[in-house]
Amino acid sequence: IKYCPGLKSIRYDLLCPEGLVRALLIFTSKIEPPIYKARPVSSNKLHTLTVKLPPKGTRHYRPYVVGGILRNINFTEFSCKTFIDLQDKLHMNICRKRTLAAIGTHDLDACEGPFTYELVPKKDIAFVPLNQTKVVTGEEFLDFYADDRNLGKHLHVIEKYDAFPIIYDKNRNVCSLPPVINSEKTKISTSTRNVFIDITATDLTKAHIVLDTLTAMFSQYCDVPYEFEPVKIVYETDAHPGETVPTMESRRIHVSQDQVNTLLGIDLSIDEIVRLAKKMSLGAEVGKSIDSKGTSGVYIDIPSTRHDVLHPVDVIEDIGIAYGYNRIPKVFPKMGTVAQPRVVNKISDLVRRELALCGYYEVLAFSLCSEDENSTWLRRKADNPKPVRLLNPKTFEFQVMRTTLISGLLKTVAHSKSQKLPIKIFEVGDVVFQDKSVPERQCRTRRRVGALWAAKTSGFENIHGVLDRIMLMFEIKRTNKGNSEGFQFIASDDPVMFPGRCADVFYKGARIGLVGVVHPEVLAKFDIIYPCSMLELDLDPFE
Amino acid sequence: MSAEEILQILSSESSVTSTELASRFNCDHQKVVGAIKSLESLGDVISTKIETVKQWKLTEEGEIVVKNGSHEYVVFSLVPSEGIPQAALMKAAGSVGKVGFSKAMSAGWISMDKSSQPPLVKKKVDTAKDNVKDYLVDIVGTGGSSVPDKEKADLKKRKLVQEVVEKVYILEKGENFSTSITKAETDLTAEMISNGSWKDVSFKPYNFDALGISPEGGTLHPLLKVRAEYRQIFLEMGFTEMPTNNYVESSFWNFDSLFQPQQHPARDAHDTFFISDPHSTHLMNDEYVKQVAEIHSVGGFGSQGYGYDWKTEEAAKNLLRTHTTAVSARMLYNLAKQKEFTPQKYFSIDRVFRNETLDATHLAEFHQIEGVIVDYGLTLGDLIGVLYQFFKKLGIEKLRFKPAYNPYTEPSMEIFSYHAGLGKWVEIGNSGIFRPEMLLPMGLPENVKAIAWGLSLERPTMIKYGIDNIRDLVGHKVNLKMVKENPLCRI
Repeated sequence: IKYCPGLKSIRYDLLCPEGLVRALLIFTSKIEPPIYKARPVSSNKLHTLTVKLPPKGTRHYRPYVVGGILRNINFTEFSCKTFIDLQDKLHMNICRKRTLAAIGTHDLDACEGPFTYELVPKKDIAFVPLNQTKVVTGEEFLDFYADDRNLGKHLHVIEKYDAFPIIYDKNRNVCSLPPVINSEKTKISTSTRNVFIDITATDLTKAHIVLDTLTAMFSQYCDVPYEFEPVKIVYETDAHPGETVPTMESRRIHVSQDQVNTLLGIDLSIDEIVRLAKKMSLGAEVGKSIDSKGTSGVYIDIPSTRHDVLHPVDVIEDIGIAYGYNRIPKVFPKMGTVAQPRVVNKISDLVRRELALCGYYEVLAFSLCSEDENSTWLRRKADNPKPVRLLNPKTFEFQVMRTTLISGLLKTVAHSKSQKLPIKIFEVGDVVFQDKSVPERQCRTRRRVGALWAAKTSGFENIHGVLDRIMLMFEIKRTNKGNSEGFQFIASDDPVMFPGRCADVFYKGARIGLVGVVHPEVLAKFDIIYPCSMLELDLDPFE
Repeated sequence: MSAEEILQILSSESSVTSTELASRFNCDHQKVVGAIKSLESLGDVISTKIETVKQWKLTEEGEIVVKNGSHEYVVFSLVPSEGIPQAALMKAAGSVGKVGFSKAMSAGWISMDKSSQPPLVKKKVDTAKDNVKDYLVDIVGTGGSSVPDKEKADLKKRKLVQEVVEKVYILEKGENFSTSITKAETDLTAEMISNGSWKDVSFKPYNFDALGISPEGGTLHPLLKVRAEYRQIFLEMGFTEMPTNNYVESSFWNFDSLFQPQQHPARDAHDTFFISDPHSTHLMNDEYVKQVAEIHSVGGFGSQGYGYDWKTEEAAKNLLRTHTTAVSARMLYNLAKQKEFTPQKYFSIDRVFRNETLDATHLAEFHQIEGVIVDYGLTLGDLIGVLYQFFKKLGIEKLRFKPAYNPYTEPSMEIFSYHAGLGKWVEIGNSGIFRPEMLLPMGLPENVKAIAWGLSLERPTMIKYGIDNIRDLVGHKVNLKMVKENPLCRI
């Protein structure tokens, strides 16, 4: 079943048609928001679910559980399907593929409380899993589901342990092996009248949200609509003091008129705020003033279906939605600010323009590349300088953050075989390399310019001319070695360049880049048939 | 024959053909055609029409026949009345002997007398009529109209004549007809200017249908031309550029400081590039980190928080920033540390990274445009007002806003604009007011609000330039011809 794709992804109460229809009926004032009531069962008659996770004081890998009961429910084929469907959606969504929480639902007439939640050695487990006909033992379990397309992907939660979590009923019948599967014995069908829900979790908040959502949505099919029966959770561990859930209690917060109007930029009366909040299924009544300005406010009762409400701004957004964003009058902030571009970007733009005026085409390579492209193909050592390496790339194309613009320019030439010669290209971009001396990030970013000339002959003098042009534009004169004012051109032997055809560029006493004829072995790696000359310079020193 | 002579003829006759001219001047037709072409280039001096004519012409061998008689006639003439040995006859006839002998034999003009030793070739008839030569003479004189087709075919087979298709020009006076020719110049030269001769010469008409020579200049990249326009708009609106030249970011600034919970799907390895080396960062600003940990796990500042176990190790993980909002967070934090709060407008346009499956519209890295305004008492009305101003500068006047969800803004709005070309509303960006859970732990005053919006740079560029595949726009596989011929970006 698919619904409106534009819904807020954290409105778990709108993931099923029951909730969606209910919200729309309330919004259009056709019905009142429901009030959820616990079945009148004395507390010593409640079903219990006891957490027996050994030993006391050690943390289990799935320490929490909650449970609840829907009595005298009337399933139809449709609602039975939406019930399963909602569980799937919650599993995918808030439960993060069952890692944070996992739901088990059971026919309560096929099992019997009290229930226990235990960690059971594999060898002691044997039951018929849901939709199977044969008993599967704990030892067989991982192999049995390894190739299952839907359930196999949840095995990683339990596979590294010798003992699996199990929910047992009074008679030691397995109800579920969370987070993978329930038992066939307790399977839900359209004839099921009483439903027991268990939710095991690593995140108790999420378990509560899931339980509240299921209870709120499907208690509407009970003989007494919106009635539920709580379950008493008893911990024999120290993970939690124990609780009786669900409570389905609403939370009351106070929102002032001023808060609403100053966030939305409108002028709503208290009555309007109350009316709009109610349209959004929130309880609302006029409340006394709480803020220092003495403006009046509204008490908002947030139902147990709205765990997404964390702060009064969430309520104010709902009021804004009910009012209609497109009705809010536009104003323009009255602020006198003076714009300031970044110097490094201004310098980059000046150099980019200059190179385009010199007849070079600007290219835009990716800043991610392979290890080979960044070092060995350039005849350079892998860790000089040390690149930032990715942990989880999907392809070899993206292994490291580039430490040079050279490979991007060469790759572009390699893909420009049909272009007229000479090919003249440049790029201005950032390169990144590790630097432990940088606090926090431990890497340094440099703005660079790279330019390349490819033709039938190396054309070194053309790239040399580009360098001279850049220096001329920045009014930097060529000086002798030792004079720190200007720039110098000193023969060097970077392995990426042809021996004897490479020079380092020094400015203010520091090496800021290189110029040279690309080594034929490098050209061969990049599948380039023409000689190339190129330069690469740091732009940061020109700031 | 000269071009002037042709003009002389035309001045007295209304029309003349190139073939007539060739025969009058008794020169080669091609030479006449050349003269006509040069007259045509003068402008409307003459007007011409072209007709194609098929003509019979003699081959070189045919010319020899006209001069000496047909090969068989030559052989026949060399035979004396008493006869001649075949070898001697052949020697006398030279190159035409072999063909001439067999043709004369088959024509019945000569015969072999084998009674004498050696056998002699003797005339069989007294006189022979050389029809072949006569036909050829006819063809030269009158075009061969009286020669039967069968004979023509025969002559063609003997390679004495050939059929040629000739273009015949029919000349008439043009609008600017004159009998004198001034030579047309092709181009204005420095010499003409210095000696003033440009006044007297006429210039060849220019062919405006031809292409010009492509200039040698370079070009800027299309995506960055669009970036320049957006940057200009922000600067015109008083926005200061944020320092975004740091691709590597900690999870803390990319997610935690933005109140994005640690179990959020965006923090999954399927969506975000994490870094193996340097794997994690040393979180600084201890006090602020504590505040963030608290707002996530137990809440505060009027929020109940997410109620989960916040882990420093998770926040310390390095990644490639998934949005430039990480930089906005740092800016707002620094602003909060200022002695006194001052209102600010910030913007950035820079690369962000997503570990996505690549397709025609998704790349692992793309450019994000972001604007942030922070001041006391900003409202959703301010955000809407700013967005109208911003998009108006882009030529977009019709906007609509739709509720959306974003972990760090509340309220959140998707921005839609009406696309006249597509005839529908299309999503163009996201916006919202930063959550108090993000701003208050930084230490910003309680009634200071920050409004923000973001959009991608690639998407509007692709729409603007009609590019379907993002890899035709960015990366090393882009066609340089596209970069070269891409038009100006005028928004």
